[in-house]
Amino acid sequence: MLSIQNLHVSYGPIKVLKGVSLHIDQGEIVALIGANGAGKTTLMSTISGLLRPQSGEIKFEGQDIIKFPPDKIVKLGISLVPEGRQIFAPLTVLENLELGAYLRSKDKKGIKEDLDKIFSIFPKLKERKNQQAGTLSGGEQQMLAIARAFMARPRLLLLDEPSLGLAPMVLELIMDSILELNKEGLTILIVEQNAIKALEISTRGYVLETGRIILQGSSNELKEDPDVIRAYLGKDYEEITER
Amino acid sequence: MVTESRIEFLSPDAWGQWHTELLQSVVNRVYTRVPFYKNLLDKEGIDPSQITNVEMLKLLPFTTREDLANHYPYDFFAVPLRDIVRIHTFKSSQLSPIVIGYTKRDLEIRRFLAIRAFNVFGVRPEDIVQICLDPGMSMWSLELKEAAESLGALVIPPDPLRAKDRIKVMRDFKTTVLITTPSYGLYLLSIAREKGLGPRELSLRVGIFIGETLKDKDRKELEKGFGLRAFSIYGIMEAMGPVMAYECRDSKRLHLALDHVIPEVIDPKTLEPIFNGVGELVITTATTKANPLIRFRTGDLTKITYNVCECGRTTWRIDPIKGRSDQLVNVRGIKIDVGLIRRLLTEYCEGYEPKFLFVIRKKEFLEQIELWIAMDPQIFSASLPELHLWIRNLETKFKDYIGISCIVRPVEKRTIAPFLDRNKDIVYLDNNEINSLLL
Ligand SMILES: Nc1ncnc2c1ncn2[C@@H]1O[C@H](COP(=O)(O)OP(=O)(O)OP(=O)(O)O)[C@@H](O)[C@H]1O
Ligand SMILES: [Mg+2]
Repeated sequence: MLSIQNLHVSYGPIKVLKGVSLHIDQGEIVALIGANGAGKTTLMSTISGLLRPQSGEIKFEGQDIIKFPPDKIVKLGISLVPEGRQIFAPLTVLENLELGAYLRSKDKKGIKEDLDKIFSIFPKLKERKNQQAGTLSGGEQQMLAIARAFMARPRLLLLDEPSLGLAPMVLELIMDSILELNKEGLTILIVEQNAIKALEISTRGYVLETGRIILQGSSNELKEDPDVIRAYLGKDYEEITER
Repeated sequence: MVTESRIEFLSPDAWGQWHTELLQSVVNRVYTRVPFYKNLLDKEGIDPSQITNVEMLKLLPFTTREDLANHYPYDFFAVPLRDIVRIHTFKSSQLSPIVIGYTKRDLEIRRFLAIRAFNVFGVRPEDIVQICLDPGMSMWSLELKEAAESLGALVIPPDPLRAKDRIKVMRDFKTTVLITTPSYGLYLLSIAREKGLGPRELSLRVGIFIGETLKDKDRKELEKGFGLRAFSIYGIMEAMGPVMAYECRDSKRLHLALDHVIPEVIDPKTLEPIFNGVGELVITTATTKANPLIRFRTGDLTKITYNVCECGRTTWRIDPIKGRSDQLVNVRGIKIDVGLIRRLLTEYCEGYEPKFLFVIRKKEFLEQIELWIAMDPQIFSASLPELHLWIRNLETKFKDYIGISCIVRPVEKRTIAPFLDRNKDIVYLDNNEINSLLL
C-alpha cells in the first residue's frame, strides 16, 4: 500500500533520515520504534507532506506522492494524528470531529455513519460530544485526535506517539480502539517510544536508530529482541556491558 | 499482509522492496556494530546510504573464511556477548579457528528453515527420523535433530553404530525418514541389499540428502532401493545453517531462503557478478543478529534461476552444487582444506614441505582419503620400524587436525610426479587406478 525507498530528510545541514526504506501492506498495523530523536516524527511528517525530503521515493498505491501538498495526501487517504494531539480546544468534541471530515462535508450521510461508528468505538466521546475539547482529559483528547483523523475516511492512519503521557489504563483503551479501527479495515503506521505496547498490537515493526533502519521483522520476534529492548529502555548500544 | 508461510510466494516486485529493506538494515547494523566492516567501508569510502538497492551490493567488500579466522575472536560480532547463546568453532587454514556465534533468534531462524523444508518433504510428527552422519558433521546433525524434534517427530541421532546395526535399527524401529549424505546412503543401501532388505522390509518414505551433490543416477538408485522419495538440501554452517536451500516437490533446483539471505553468483577470478551462469555462490545474511555476513564467499559453484517455480514459489533457486572454487575438498560432506594439510605436513616435517598427493579413493560407495608422501632423504632416512611409527603418528595428527581419518602412504617420487607436474595435488582415483599406480 505504502512503500518508501531511500528517504533522505534534513533540517538545514542536519541529516535526520539517512536513506530509510520501509513498506506497509493493506490491512497491516506496522510499528516504527526508536529512541528520542531517532527521526520517527520526521518520517511521519514527510509521509504527510509537511516536510520535503532531499531525495527518495514515497509511493502510495503505486503513485509517487513525494511532491504532493498535505491536503492532497489527506484526500488520497493518508491521515496523520500528530504528536501532542493538536485538537481545537475551544471547539466542542462534535465540532472537532466534523472538522476532521471537512474535505467531504457534502457527504452528510457518510459523516453520520462514521460518527456512529466512532461513538461506538469511543463511547466516552459520545457522552461528551458537546463538551469543549480543551476540557477533556489527556486520554480523551487522544481519543478525539484519533477519531478526528478517522473522520477523513483515511485508508492509512499515521499515529505519532498515541501513548504519550497517558496513564496505563487509558493507554489500554487507546490501544484497543486502534485494534478496533484496524478491524474496520484501516491500515495503520504507529510510532512509539513505548515499543512493547506498539509491538503488542502490530503485525510487523521497524527499528529506527539515528535516521537509519537497523532491524525489521514480525512484531513477535522484535518484542524479544535485545536491541529493541535496549532501544525501548533508551540505552545506547555502547552502554551495554559484556557478559 | 505477508505471513511466514506465504513469504516464499511473494511477487517479484515485493521481493525487491523486501531485499532493499533487509539489505539496508543489515548494512546499517554491521556499520555501527562490527569493527571489521566499519573499517572496511570507511577505507573504501562507502557510506551505507549508497546501498540504495540490491544491485548496489557490488559496492560492498567480500567476506572470506580467511577474514573470519584472521579476526578471531570478537571482531565479527554484531551483538554483545551476553546476547549470544551458542558459539560454534570451525577449523580454518589460518592460525586461528573460525568462530560463529548465534543469538537465540539466530538459532530459531535456522531451525525454522529446516522445519519449513521438512514440511515440504512431508515430514510429520508421526515420523521416525534416523540421522546417519559422520562425526565430522556433528553440527549438522545437531541442528537437524533439533528441527525434527520440534516438529514432534521421533529422532534417532547419529551414534557410533556400524552400518549393519544402523540398518537393523532402521528395520526394527520402522524408520520413515532417513537423513544422510548421498554416498553414505548408497553404502547403507548396499548393506541393506546384502541382508536382503528392500522397500518391502523397510518403512522408509523420505530421504533427505545433504553435504554432497545428489546425482541423478544415485537419486534413482536410492529411491528405488529404499522405496523413498529423495530430496536434497543445501547449507553452510557459517551462515543460515543446514537448510539455506531445499528441493521442493516440483523441481530439482533448490529454493533459497530468500527471506533470510541475499544471494549472488560471482566469477571467482574477476569477482564480477554473474547473472545467468555458473559461478561462486555469495551470501549476504539478511536477518542474522550475532554474526551478520556481507557477501560471504561460500566457495560453492552453482547457478541461480530467478523465474517462478512450478510449485508457485518465487524464491530464487540454485542448481545442485557443481564443485568448488577454492582449495576446499568435500569428502563425505566434510569440507577439507588442502592448505591446512600442507600446514600440518610442514609442521610435522619441521619446516620442510614434502611433496605429496591427496588421494580421494572410492571404496564401497564411500570416499576414503589417503595422503601419498614422496619419500626423500630430507624428511626421512631412518629404519623401517621408525618409518612405521612416523606414519602412524602422522595419521593420528591428521585425524586430530583435520577431523577425519586418513591413510598415509610413503611412495616413490615418480609415482606422484605426473600429477604434481600437472599442478594437481588432489586426485580422485578408483581401486584399479590405485593398484596400477602402486604396483
Ligand atoms: N524543525 C527542526 N529543526 C531542526 N532540527 C529538528 C527539527 N525537528 C526535529 N529536529 C531534529 O531531528 C531529529 C529527529 O527528530 P524527530 O522529532 O523526528 O525525532 P523522534 O524520533 O520523533 O523523537 P521523539 O521520540 O523524541 O519524538 C532530532 O535530533 C531533532 O532535534
Ligand atoms: Mg517524535
